[in-house]
Order: sequence, then C-alpha cells, then structure tokens
Amino acid sequence: MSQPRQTPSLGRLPEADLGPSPARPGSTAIRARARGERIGRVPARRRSGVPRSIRILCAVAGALTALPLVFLLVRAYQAGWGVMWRLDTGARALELLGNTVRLSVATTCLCAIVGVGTAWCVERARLPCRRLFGLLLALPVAVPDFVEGYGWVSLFPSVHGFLGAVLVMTLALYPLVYLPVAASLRNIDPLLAEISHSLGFGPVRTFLRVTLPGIRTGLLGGCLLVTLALLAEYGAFEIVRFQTFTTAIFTEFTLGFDTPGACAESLLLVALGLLVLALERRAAGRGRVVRSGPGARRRLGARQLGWAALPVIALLVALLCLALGVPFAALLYWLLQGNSSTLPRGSILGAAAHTAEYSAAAAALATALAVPLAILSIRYRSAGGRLLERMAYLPQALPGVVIGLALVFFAINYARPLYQTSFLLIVAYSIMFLPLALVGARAAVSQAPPGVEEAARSLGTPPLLVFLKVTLPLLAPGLAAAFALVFLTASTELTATLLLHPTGVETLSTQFWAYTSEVSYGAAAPYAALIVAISAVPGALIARRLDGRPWSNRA
Amino acid sequence: MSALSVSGLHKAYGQVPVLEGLDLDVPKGALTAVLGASGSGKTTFLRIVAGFDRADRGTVRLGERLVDGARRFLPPERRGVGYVSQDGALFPHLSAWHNVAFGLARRERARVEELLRLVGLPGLGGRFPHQLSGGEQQRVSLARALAPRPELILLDEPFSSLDATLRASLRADVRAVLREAGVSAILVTHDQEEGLSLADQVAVLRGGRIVQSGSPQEIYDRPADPELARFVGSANLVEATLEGGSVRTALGRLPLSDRTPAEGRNGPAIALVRPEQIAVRPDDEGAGLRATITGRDFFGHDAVLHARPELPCGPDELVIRVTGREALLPGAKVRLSARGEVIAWARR
Repeated sequence: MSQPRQTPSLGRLPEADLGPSPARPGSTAIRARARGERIGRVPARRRSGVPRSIRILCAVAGALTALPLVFLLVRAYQAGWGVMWRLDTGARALELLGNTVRLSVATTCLCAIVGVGTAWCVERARLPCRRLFGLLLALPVAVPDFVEGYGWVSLFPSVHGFLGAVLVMTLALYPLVYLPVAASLRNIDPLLAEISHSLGFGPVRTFLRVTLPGIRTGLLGGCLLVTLALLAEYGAFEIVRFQTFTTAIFTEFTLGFDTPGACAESLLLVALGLLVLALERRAAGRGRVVRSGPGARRRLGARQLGWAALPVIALLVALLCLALGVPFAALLYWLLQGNSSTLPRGSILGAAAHTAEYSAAAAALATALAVPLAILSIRYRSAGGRLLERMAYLPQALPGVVIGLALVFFAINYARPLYQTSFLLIVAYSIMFLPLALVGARAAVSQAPPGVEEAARSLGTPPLLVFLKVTLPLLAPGLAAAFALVFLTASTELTATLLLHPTGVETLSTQFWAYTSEVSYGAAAPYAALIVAISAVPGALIARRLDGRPWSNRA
Repeated sequence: MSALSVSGLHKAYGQVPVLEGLDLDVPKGALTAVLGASGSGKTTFLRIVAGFDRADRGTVRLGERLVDGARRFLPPERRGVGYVSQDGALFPHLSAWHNVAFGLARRERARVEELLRLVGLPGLGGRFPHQLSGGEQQRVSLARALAPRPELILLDEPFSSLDATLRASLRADVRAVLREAGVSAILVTHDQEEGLSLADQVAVLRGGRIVQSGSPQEIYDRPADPELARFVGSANLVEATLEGGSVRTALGRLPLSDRTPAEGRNGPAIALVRPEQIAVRPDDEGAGLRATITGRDFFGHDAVLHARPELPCGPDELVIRVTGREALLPGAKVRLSARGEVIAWARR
C-alpha cells in the first residue's frame, strides 16, 4: 500500500517559516508571462492542499449541524437559567430521567443479546434456509418503531407502560445490532478462529477470546444506535403510553407552549445523548481489529448444530413472529376491517407524494453536504477537519423533537417567512440524517483508492475533470446507498414532521398519526402499510449492497 | 542537459523533517535509482517532483522549466510527469484499455493497443483491474503513465508488492520498455540489488539528502562512508593501518584504490573489504588470518560463508562470498586473505 499521506494541519506553523517571499493563501493567481505558460493559483507553502471549495462546503455543513444546539442555548439564555429550573421542573425532570435511563439500559441490553444471538445463528451455524432467515431478521429495520407500536397496541391493548415499551422497542431495534454484528462476523478472518482452535481452544473460549473482540466494534456501534434511537423516539412511546424526556418535551411544547421547560428538558436530553456518544467512543476506541493482509475472503465452515438446530429454529421463528408477524397481521386485520374514522378522509396519494418529495430533497441535500465532509476528513487529515467531522455527528445525539423545536424557535424569531414552509422541514431532515449520509459517504470515499486521483492529474487532467471522471464514478455506488438510507429514514420520520410540516399539508406519517391518535386504527392502516412499503424499497437496495462483494475488491 | 534538477529541497510534515536539502540531477534518457531505507523520504521526494505535494523550500526544474519554487508551483496536470505507484493505482471503474487511454486525447487513442503491446499485454485491454494479476496491473500502470509521452517517469517501488520471480522478469521488461520509449525515469527503491542492477545512475538518499550519486559501479566500489558501504551490498569493515599507498590489515597488506577517501594519509583507518575479495584456504596451507567457519548460506550459483576470525580486536565476523562448490561446513578451521584494491577511511 502507498504510504499514508500526512498533510500538515492548517495554520499550525509560524508565519516566519514561510520562506523568503511567501505567497499568501488566497492570493490571486500568478501568471508566468515569460514563457506564456499558465500557472494555477500558487498554494502557500506549508499549507495543506485542501481546495477552497471543499473548505467552504464543509464550513456550511458544520454551521448547519451546530444550528439547533446554538438556538437551544440562545433560547435558554433568553429565558434565564433561574426560570428554567423551577422546583417542579427539577422533580419532574428527575422522574423522566429515571424512566428514560431504565428503559434505555433494559432495551439496549436485550437488543445486544438478541442481535448477537441471531447474527451468530445466521452466520456461523448450519441452518436450513440460512439466507432467508438472514433477510427476514433484518426486515424489522424497515418497519418504523411507531408502526411496530401501532401493531402491538392495536391488537393487544394490554401492551403498555414500561414492559410494553421494552417489548416493542426491542423488537423494532434489534436489527441495528444484528446487521453490523453479522457483517463483522462475515469479515473476521476465518483463519483467526482456526488458529485459536489449533492452539487448543474450544468453540466457547474461541468465541469469547477471538470472535467477540472481532465483533466488538460492530456490537458497540449497534448498541449506540439503539440507545440514541430510544432517546429520540416519540411515536412508539406515545402509543404504549410511556413517558420519557422526548414525549414530555413534545407534549409540553404542543399543548402548553411551555417553551422554557421544553428547552430545559431538551438540553438535558442532548446532554444524555452526548454522554452515550462519548461512552461509546471510549469503549470502541480501545480495541481495533484489523484484517492482516489482503487475502481472499473465505467463509468459515458453518457449525453443525445437530439436535440443537430445532430449538434454535423455533426461537428464530418465534422472534420473527413477534417482530414481523404482529405488525403485519395488525396491518392486514385493520386493512380488511376498513375505515372507521370520524375524521375527514385524507388523500393517501397526496400524502405519499409530499412524503417522497420532502424525503428526496432532504436525502439529496444531506448527501451533497456529506461528500465534502467525508473527503476532508479522509483525504486531508487536519485538526479543523476532525472538528468538523465531530460536529457533523452531533445530530446523532439530537432527537428530532429537539431539532424541530430549535428550528421553530429560529423561524419564529429570526425568519418568520420560513415558518411552516417545507424548506424548514427539509433542512431539519438534512441535519438529522447528515450523520447517516456521512457514514455512506465516508465508506465510499475510503474505498476509492487515493492514488488514482493523483495518477489522473499526472496524466494531465485538471482537478475538476478528475472529480467528474474519476472521483464521482468511484463514489457513485456509495453515494446512492447514502441517498437511499436517508430517503428511507426521512420518509418514515414522525416527530420532527409533526412539529414542522406546513399547515394543511399532510405527509404519510402525520396523517397516520392523526388517525392513530383518534384510535381509528382502520383508517390509519393504509398509511402504515404504505410507509412500510416505501421503506422496503431502499431497504432492499441496502440489503443487496451489504450482501454483495465490495466491487473494488481485487480478486 | 538534465531531465530533472532538484536543489535544496526541504519538506517537513508538521514538526518532523523529511527532506533536508536534497540536491539531485537526473540526466536525460537515463534511469536513475534513488536508493534509501524505508522512511528516508523517497516517496515524499517523488510526490514533490510529481506535484502532489509542495516543497517547503528549494526548487524543482523539469528540463528548463521551474515547476516548484518560492513563487511558482505548476500543478501535476501541467507537468508532464508520469507516475507509477507501489500498487499501480489503476482506476478500478475502468478497463485496462480505458485506463491507458485516460491521459490521451481522443484522436490519439489508436496508441492504446500499441502501448499495451509494448508492456506485453496485447489483447488484455478489456480486462478490469481486479481481473489482472499484480504484475499485469503494474504493466498497465506503466503503459498508462507512458501514454501521454511524458518527459519523465517516476516509479515508486513498483516491484515491491510482487513475488521474486515476477519481480525479476518485470524489472527487465520495464527497463526495456523505458529504453524503447526513450524516456527519463526515476526509480525509488529500498532494494540495493534492484537499484544497482537496473539503473544507469544511483543516488543514495539518507537523512533527507542525497549522500552520494554516481554509476552503480562507483557507488559499490567507492562508497562515501562506511555506513553507505554497508547499505549497498554486504561489507567487511576491518581495522587497518595506512602506510603510504597501501593499507595493512589482518587480511594482509592491500593496495589502496585511487581516489580513496583517505588518500595520502598515514595512521589508523577502516578498510572496506567486499566479501568476494576474500580467499579461503584450509588451515594447514601457509599464511593468512586464522578463522573458524560459523555458518554457510547457500544460493546455488554461489554461497556466503560466515567466519569468526581469531583477532584481538576488529570485526567479530567476516562475510565471504565463494562459489557454490566450496564445501566448507561450519566448524572448519580456515585461513583467510584478501586480494584486489580496497578503499579506506582514516580514523580521526
């Protein structure tokens, strides 16, 4: 492999070192008149070669992600810290904190157990219909949490409270652990386990000492996603009648317009999210498993389960019944039951069109913002780039309700004409899902070998053409995946949509919510079905991409 | 005239200096090898010449054009310098044919097939990089770099990722292709054998500067200092005393070669005796330095003996190159003597 490129960080060196006649950064192009030769802008010496266009785009993306938090802090400052911490707020906050924490811990642990167990069964055990199980087990990721909740509560009204919330959320979120862990299991060099066996370790000790460290990063990453999703979830908890920070903030804002209280709780919620993020960073940073050598990938010989296969299959089928069977049965039941709502009938096609429009716009914007960030952080290592990338991941810890609130504050106070327009909703989606887009964009950029762009330039191609002819074709599949991922997630978003959708314009999720809140399960069913169908399309794209070989792999 | 002349090149990454005043002239039409241990700044040097990185100080001229100087920086796409990297860096989304055609204008595309033939891959243009072996990828990469008819080609350890047999055949082919194309080239490598056998001129890079450059023979026979002597081939550095035009060592009195670093001086010195300069005889035959064989590395065409000399001071081990027929086994007692001219460095 080529030597890692080290680029000096921005402006760390004193001006005095710039040589006899330093060209200042951003000085106009100096043209060599003597030989009539065109010379490009002279980059200042000792500067990293980050193109200005990338710097500007990254700064825009960074500013956008910081926006919600800044407005939240401004709002809190305006309200005065004293007002915010009234006694009853404190006591109530404590109760909500307890609720949120115990729910997060219980559900995350359950998801980890279910996710690792299912991943091991699919990847390492010899099961009939292994591929089918692999696909079905990943499917709940395409069923939004609030649809999962709707399915359970509409069929079994007794599902409610803490246990109901844990049940519904575990079934909805375990694929977030299952998918990365299964991918890690596939990617671990099978030779490692074989060497462990040759050194005299049995299957259990090999799993603990070799396999578990190998899937550690995927497992922690999955658990992080689960916890953050729990902190941000509104719809499912509202349906099972369980109070967390997010539901409380939402209720206070929509019913009482108690904005200082909502603001204080939002800040607490954000702090909680950042804490989780920091914990994961620390834990994941300790162990890194790197595949040594570019050897071809082999599948580890699957383990024969023998008599144990039956209970394993029974467990997997039971899990699928609970996670997929119940919501789909509910959809089917209520679809057949028909419309029983007293609310005026909305146009499902219109709602679908709005949903697709907003999601596609947001996916395009988020992907476009993610590309320069990914290029900056992977190709040019600098302190500024690292900071910007950290900031871009910040929205992970910002629940939709918080971003929605912040943008509403912003629009009401500083940009009144934007309030209640689709623009605000698209911006909110883009901020929320920038981390998702960034994951895809980063994967794409890091897969594209860096030497090829330089090779193209040494063949006489100017930078913009290199970007179009080399960089973009190499990134395209990864960016398509990033777009699909954001589109999927945005089209099933509920919380921020409820806060920000333009008046009179209904999307699938807002219309679904209107009916569900009225307990008109039959009227809500077509919307839920369409939401699930929409998320299935990009879901299949992603599954195929995960399943296929990385196309730039050298045979 | 030079194809490339570099003077006073400085480059640091953060606080770590990599190049510290590198000077080098590359004659037109020649293959110059830049030899250096890993981490000596070889790749950095090539990247600056290609225009991928900018020097902190110093100048780079291609022919008569100043391409990197205090106020001037020509971007890589205007330099006309070909680059072949360690792993080839082929565009993974393009076939071999389109890789080679990348730098060519549309009307020149007829040359692609000719270039593929030149590098020994006729008819393989339809393959994609992942369908090519490592050696084939490097051949395509070379054809791609040659396509726009550059004045200078930079080869960054292009053979290091290949296995030994492939490496040998590719080396010979690359040299032939470069000769045929009549292009000047710089090959950076850490493999002294590769550098000495391929290049017309060898420059040794150490501590961020070129410590010596010259023909391969010159570098091998008259290295600038003992450390360099060890770097280009194996070397016996033995205690010696300078006496007029010759040098007295435990291996006998040896004539000094002309232009030796210690010319015209007397007193203690270090002499360089290459392994092939030492003769081995059985212990009972006459004079010479008594020694015990401690090991033997057999290479087929020749063998290398390791011997522990009976010396009060000086090297603990001598390395001797003998023909493969010499059947001395470890433990054998022998007498050693040296022959031919040597060079020596006076001790201060």
